[in-house]
Amino acid sequence: MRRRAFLLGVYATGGQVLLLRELISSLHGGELIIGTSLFGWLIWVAIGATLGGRSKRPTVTTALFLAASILLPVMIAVTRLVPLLLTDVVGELIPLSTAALISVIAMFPIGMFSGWLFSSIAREGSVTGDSIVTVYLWEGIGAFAAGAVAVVLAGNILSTLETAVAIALLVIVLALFTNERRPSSRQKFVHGIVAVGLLVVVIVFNADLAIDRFKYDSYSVETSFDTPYSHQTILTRDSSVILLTDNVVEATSPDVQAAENLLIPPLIYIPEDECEVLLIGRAEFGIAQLADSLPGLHITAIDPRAKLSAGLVDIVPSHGRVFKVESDVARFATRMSELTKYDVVILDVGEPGTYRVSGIITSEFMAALKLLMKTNGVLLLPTRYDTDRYVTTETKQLLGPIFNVLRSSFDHVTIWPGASTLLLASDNDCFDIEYDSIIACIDSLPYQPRYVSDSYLFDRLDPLKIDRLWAALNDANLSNSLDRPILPHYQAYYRASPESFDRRFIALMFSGRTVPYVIGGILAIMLAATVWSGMRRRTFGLFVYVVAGIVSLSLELIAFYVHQSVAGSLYSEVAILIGVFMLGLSIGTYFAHKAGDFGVEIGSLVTLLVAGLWYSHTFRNIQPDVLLIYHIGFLFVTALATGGLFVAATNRYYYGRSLRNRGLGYAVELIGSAIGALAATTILLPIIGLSALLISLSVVTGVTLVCSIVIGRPG
Amino acid sequence: MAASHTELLPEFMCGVENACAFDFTKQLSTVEARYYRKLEGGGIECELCPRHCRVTDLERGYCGVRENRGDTYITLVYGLPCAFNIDPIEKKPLYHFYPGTAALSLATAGCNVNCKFCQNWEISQSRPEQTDNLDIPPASLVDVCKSRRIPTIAYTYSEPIIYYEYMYDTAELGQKNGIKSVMITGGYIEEKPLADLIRQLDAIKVDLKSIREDYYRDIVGGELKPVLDRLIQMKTAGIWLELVYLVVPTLNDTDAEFRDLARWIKKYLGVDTPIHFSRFHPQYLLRHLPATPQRTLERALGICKAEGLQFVYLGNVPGHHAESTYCPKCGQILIQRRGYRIVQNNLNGNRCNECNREIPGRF
Ligand code: SF4
Repeated sequence: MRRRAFLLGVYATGGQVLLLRELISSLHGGELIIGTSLFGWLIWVAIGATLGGRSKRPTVTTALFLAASILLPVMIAVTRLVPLLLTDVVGELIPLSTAALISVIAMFPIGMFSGWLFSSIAREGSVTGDSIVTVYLWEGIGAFAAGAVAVVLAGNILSTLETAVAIALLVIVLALFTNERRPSSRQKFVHGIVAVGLLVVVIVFNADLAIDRFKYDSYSVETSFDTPYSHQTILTRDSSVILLTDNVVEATSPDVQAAENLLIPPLIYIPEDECEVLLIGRAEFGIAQLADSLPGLHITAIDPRAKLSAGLVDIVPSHGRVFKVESDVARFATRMSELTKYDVVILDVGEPGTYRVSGIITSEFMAALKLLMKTNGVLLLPTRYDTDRYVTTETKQLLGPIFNVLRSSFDHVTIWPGASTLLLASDNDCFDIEYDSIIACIDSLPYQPRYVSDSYLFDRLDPLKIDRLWAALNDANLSNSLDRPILPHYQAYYRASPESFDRRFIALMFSGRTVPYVIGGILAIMLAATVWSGMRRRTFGLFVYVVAGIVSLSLELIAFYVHQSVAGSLYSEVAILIGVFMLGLSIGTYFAHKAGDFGVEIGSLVTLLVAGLWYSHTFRNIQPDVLLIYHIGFLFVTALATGGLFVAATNRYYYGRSLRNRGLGYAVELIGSAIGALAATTILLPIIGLSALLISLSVVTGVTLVCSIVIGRPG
Repeated sequence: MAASHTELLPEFMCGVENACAFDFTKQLSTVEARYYRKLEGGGIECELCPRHCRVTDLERGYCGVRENRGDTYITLVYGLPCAFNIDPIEKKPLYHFYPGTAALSLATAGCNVNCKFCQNWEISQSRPEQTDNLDIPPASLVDVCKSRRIPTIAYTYSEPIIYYEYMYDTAELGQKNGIKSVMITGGYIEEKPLADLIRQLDAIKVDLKSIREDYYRDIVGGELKPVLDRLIQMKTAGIWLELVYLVVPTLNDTDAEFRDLARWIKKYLGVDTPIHFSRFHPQYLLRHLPATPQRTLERALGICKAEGLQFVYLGNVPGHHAESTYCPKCGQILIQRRGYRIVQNNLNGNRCNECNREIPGRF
């Protein structure tokens, strides 16, 4: 039974993290759906476990494992193809609310199977004398193993789909040999056929490529693979190369206009002929080609996706004059700040709809970046917002906070309106140049730009347009920060159709600060109701369930958010983070169950409180290099305490009623977890900010601790 | 930074509160709309565009800017542009209409279709209460043009048809004062309103989005047939007409489509009708579709030239020979363009200064 529980842990956590990766990638890279995915997972596991527990005959877990294993790669493929069903055109935008709904539904099969398998294995355990917490402990160990394996495999050695197949194969084979009875030859035959079939699909047909070819059937798909940061597809059509990252166009080649827009404007404000340029982004799609015509430029391009560089070699012509650094930019900044200083830094990071990009557009990141710049260096932040003909409220909402980040980090900021609005910043007073001087400077370059030239600039830099944009930006008072990341939500708002549900919802979110009060109010009422009801000592257990759910899921999602914003590598490392969390939960549950003492409740609450407070005091100071270790430690301790708290809540609420059905307790726990999963980062973070969120969670934990001490033991 | 084609234009143009003569307003207009009929049993039917919205009391039509108030149909955007600029006429693009001149360009919120690739979706898909609107009645627009010597007003960006009354009255007043009017439209309008409007206008540029009905249905949210009929009507009426075809990769860029397009133009509008192929840039709902490769535009150019069209242009490809105008008879470069700038003009009036061939357009 223990081996089966271990296998379940491998399957469930492997499935959960791979699906999560796939959802982030297929739904265009936005991490706002992590909360809804986890919510969906919790719900489906609970339903699966309930149905599995209620079924009259115990299920044959070997068969169940087989079916579940096949579903894992199938669901990855289905998730990858879902955008085709929802849109008329491949490349059409999927609204945030639709994406959130998909993320819940996509978790259904794997979640249900995982829950059902847990019930079935627990039943088997009751026959062999193993308790449910032992099943849970071994499942946690399996989860950790899956997380560790997935973080090594997915993106580095295999793609998400291939990793899913690897896990499926492992489960298909081991399911036969972890049974108490020897497998029959028929079972061996069936499992063998399925395993071979899966291998053939992935290896012979190259499933990743086949799916992308089906999806992008109007293009020629050159290659398709995963990196630890993203899913990459490279397409060609009409002599043009298109780089898709998480199904979003990151760059096309040739695109002279985009390349000139990145390279020429900052050069205008740097008088030196020799110029060190740091490009945060990819150089292969135009910058490198331009650099060939600008001999004084020395370009360093930084991007962490080493596999992508290798993948592009044969597709986009390489240019020797660009020095490529394959590193995460935050790590690079901390390591290199003493060594090299740049005249120009180009932040070509795309739209701020993701935590990764939002984390870059913060004063914290700008401070790190400034260490890499010369004192008269110029930073260029290109955006995709159109301010050529008008500046709408939605554009203002996005450009304003970006502008304010630069204004708070640099002494001087200037703007270039246009179809792609540019923001330039420097500590040097270099931006006050007349139009004629700009043109003279451009004309003196060894390369004659086609787009960033008088042919268009006389219209683009029309004083009317510049004044209009300045007026819009000077109106803005919000800023984006690690503490309060508003850009991903504003980006979702901007992308949504004016009359859509998304717009209404996000507008409602930001219109007042009602949501935090509503959640606080609900908690207060629940506390009052449970504390003052007739059997207060016991019913307080229900409140402990809720608190355990809310605080643990909130802290887990906060850790994900910080990890992605600072290190940008959540895509691959979420596997180990979830694995560790599951392991901590199961160990906490196991030992709390063994201890069976009232002290577990207080101990768990104290641990949660201390972990939350410690986190809020330390997370800003952690270097990106050690962030993974830091979050592994934090999540393990948090989960350990949460596991203990679940047991404590159960012991309290079911005190003296050990045979009673535990449904109510689990349902209440689920409500708490759902609030944590849905509200913490998706709703509360951009409204009240991270510090306030962490303090709120500490207050909730602290109040529960005080009540626990005052109310005392059950019975 | 300073100096541009608008350097004659002072600060009043900036469209910025506290810095211009025109104020922003939250008020919507209540001017009665034209081209509608009252339905028996209540409600009205709008007859301005082929949608023929039937609208009950206090409801609006599809375009979101025309509202039934007690069975009187009103336009909510009369005199209330949310976009206001001075553009080079080449930006519209109109290449055969007074090259090198400026056009006072404006738009209100709203549109009668919903193109998934719309470049102006931020205003075209909004309702007027969701945009920042300036209060500029027709007379003020004309005064601005007169005092600043801007020869043309362009009704552009979103869909001018939905602010028909504002456009019509301004164009009529402009005509009386020597100011020309050009409409940049999708051409999705009924016959009668167009016939009345044409008399006030000097040129029309139509965005012909595809030559396939299913594209109009799935990507544009409209119909092709009425647009083609209106194009023929414009040509017949003798107003200056240029076409733009936005090439969206994978959606309307096959050789067959380009060929069908060229043949239709040749048959119904004539080979001397200018057509501009412009590049799609990821926008609105198609943000994740790549921009159009130059090669695709060149394919379109080659096919249309082979079919005999005389004035085929590629938009936003500076330095390309296809951004300039050549004499169809002697091949002499007539108007050499680079971006929005006119580099040289070899026209003598509306004739080639080499072979004296008449060049269609308004010069
Ligand atoms: S103009 Fe507007 S209200 Fe009239 S039919 Fe067209 S969409 Fe409907």
